[in-house]
Amino acid sequence: LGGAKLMGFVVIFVVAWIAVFIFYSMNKSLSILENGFVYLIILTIGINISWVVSEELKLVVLTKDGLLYAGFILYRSILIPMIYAIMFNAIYKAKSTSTTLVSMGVVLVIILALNGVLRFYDVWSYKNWNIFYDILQIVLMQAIGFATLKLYRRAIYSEVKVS
Amino acid sequence: MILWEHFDSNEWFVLVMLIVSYAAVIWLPKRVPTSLMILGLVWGFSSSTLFDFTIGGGLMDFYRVDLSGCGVSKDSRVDEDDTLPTWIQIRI
Repeated sequence: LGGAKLMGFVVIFVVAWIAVFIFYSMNKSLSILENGFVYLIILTIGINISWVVSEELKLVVLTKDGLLYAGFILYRSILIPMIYAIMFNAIYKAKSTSTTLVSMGVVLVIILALNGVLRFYDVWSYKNWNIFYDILQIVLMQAIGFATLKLYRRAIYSEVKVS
Repeated sequence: MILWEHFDSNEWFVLVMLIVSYAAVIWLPKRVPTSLMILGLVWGFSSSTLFDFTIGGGLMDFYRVDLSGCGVSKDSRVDEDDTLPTWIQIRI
C-alpha cells in the first residue's frame, strides 16, 4: 500500500469525520426535515455534476486506485453535502445578508482548498478544468440549494398556516 | 452524451411509469404532511441516484443500465475496462 495513496484517503476521511462531528454537535437552526432536504438536494446535484464533468465530458480525470476512489466517493457523497448543510444552518441562524455572504465565501474557500487537496493526492487531475469552473460550480450549487430550501420552507410554512 | 439510440418500448415504459407515479402522488388522498411528502420524493430520487452512480458507474461498475437501448451486444460490453480487477468484472 503506497503511503501517499493511504494519506489521501486518510485526509478525506478525517475531514469528512470532522464535518459530520461539527454538524452533529452544532446548534442547528434548521429542522430535521430541512436538514435532510438540503443534504439530499446537494447530494443529488453534486453527484450529477461530478458524473457529467468526469465520466461524460472527461474534463476531470479520476483516479483508478481503489482506495483513492473510495476517498472520492466519501468526498462527493458525505463531505460536500455536510459542508452545505452546516453552511445553511449558519446562514439561517444569523439571518443577515452579511453573514450569508461571509458563510458562502468561507464555504467557497473551504471547498476550493479541499479540491486542491484532492488534486495534490492525485484523487483527480484537471484536464480541461480549472479553478474558475470550480468557483462557478460551487456558487451554482449554493444558489440552487438556497432556492430549493426557500421553496421547501415556503411549502412547509404555508402548510402550517392552513392547518 | 447519448441518452438513447432507439426510442422504443423501453423509453415509453419509463415515461409512462414516471407519469403514472407522479399522478398517483398528486391525485391520491394526502395522508402525510406536504413537508414529509416532498422530502420523501427527494429521498427516493437521491437515494437511487447515490446507489446508481456509486456502484453502477465509475470505478465500481457492477452492472450496466439499459443494455437494450445502447445498441451494443451484451458480450462486447463486458470486458471493455481492462483496468478493473477481475473480481469487479461481473458478467451479465
